[in-house]
Amino acid sequence: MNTGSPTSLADPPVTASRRRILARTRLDFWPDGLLLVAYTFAYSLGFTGIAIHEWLGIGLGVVLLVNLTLHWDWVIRTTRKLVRRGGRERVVWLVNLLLLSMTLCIASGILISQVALPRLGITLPASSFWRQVHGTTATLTLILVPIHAALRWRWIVGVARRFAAWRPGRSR
Amino acid sequence: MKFVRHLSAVVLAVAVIVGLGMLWAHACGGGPGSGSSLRRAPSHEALLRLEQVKAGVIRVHSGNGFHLADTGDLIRTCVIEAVLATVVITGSAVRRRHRRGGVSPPPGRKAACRCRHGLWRQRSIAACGSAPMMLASAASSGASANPAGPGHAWPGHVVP
Repeated sequence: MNTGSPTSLADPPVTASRRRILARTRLDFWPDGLLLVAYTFAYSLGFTGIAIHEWLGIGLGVVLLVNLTLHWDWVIRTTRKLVRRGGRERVVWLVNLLLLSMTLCIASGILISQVALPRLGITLPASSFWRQVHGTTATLTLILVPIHAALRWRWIVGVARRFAAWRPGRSR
Repeated sequence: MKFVRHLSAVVLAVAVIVGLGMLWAHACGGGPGSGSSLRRAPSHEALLRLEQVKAGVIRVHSGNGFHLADTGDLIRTCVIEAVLATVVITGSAVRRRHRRGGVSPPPGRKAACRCRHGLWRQRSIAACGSAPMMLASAASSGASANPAGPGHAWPGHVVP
């Protein structure tokens, strides 16, 4: 039988709130990490081969869409700051550039697909323009992804430490 | 509901980006099908490479799976990312240190307290004589200036 003391009755809202924060942090941390690792693999075409490269790219597109949706408020906020203020916010324009280049990279990759789309029954005519756009935006994204991660390195280290210290069943 | 609203905004933004790309492609005369309609003769290097492939000098992968022999490609990507991240982190750390005037935080008080003049809390009153950020509000509200005494921990003190 569960007979909680007055303090334990007062505890649940606090614990629930903390859990929610942790869940939100997890939701921020893992998809970003996944995007970084997946992009690293996808860029190494010689290692993955064309089929894995393309499927990984499509998966990246889906994760990017979800990630952007979850952080849409932040995207709007950053873009507004970009227009209004200077200082450190000037650096953050890189992030918006990253979103733009990654979106174009994935879209152009889908448009020049040789394996994934034909397997789904979709065939698009070859285009040298999109091939060129894909190459350029992929290189730009490769430069911007580590910069994006490095700009938030304090947060990454902090969260990684918390995850390393976290044990199931132990409230923090 | 909020998720759906944001998702539609994201999809719209992506559609705009791709649409602009399509317009660009159209303006450049490189729209879909341009690769097949504007066929050029293959370059000398491409022909040479094709000969080498046919002769078996260059191995060609089927492209359907990982090629563990080609880890060089993956390593190169990782190195590029690591170098760029290191440069940004180092720059950020140096800038942060410079902003703090090269004064490292006292042990056990990493980023908690600094006075208005950028000196660390323990030195602030003795060295520059300025009040920490919380002092002004405490003085205006009639509270005692520093309950712990000068040069000691200041509860609730914020970084300027």
